[in-house]
Amino acid sequence: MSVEALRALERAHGIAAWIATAALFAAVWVAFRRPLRRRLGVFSAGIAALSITLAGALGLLLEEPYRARIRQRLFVATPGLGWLFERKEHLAFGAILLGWSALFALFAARPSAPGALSGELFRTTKVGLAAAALFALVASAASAIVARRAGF
Amino acid sequence: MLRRERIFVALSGAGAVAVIAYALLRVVERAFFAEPNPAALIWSERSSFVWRSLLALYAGGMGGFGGYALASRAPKACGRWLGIAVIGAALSLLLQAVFAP
Repeated sequence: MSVEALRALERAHGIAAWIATAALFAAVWVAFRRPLRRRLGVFSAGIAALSITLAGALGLLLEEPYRARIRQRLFVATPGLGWLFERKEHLAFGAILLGWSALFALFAARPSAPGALSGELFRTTKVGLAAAALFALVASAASAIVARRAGF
Repeated sequence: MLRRERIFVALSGAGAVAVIAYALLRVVERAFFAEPNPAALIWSERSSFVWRSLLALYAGGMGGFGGYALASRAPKACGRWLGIAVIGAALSLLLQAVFAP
């Protein structure tokens, strides 16, 4: 892949990551509203899960070029930033999986049958979305910090 | 609990288990299989991140079957356990990212 293509992909990944972070926070806001509108919750959590997955897929395309061209340079120049990027990868993985996990918990919760199970599944949705949003925020911020110092 | 709901509980559980598995794999990797210094490593053919993610997803898939079985046999308990699994996943990944990046 050419350097120009990598730079474009890097920019697209960054933009997609911030959009996904915003979508996750919007989904958290919807999930914590009372009364919870399930359809709106499913819609917002679905958009958030899809957008964070798209951002992750773009990041995955950059993984190999990152290892080949940036990783060593980054660790030689500023090991702290290198480890920050490693942390960012872990949190991004968690944000994607927890986002989907929260969405599926919301699918499983039946508003027509309010009870302990439904309430627990709604709580799981809230916790999952909140954790995913926080992880995505830290990952996006870490990416932006690293991208300012090292890029393609 | 309907079959459709059990499947969604299983998928939700699979995601949480995958995150826990990811954190555990990374801790084990850091503790027992130390990778070369990244500053000295020019290039590696395999991405440990990608392999770890795939292994974690595989473990999550297995956890999904467990979640389905739990939702079938103890529907009341599965909601509580799913919540515990998601909280555990978030905490384990957070601790792993801080202490074993």
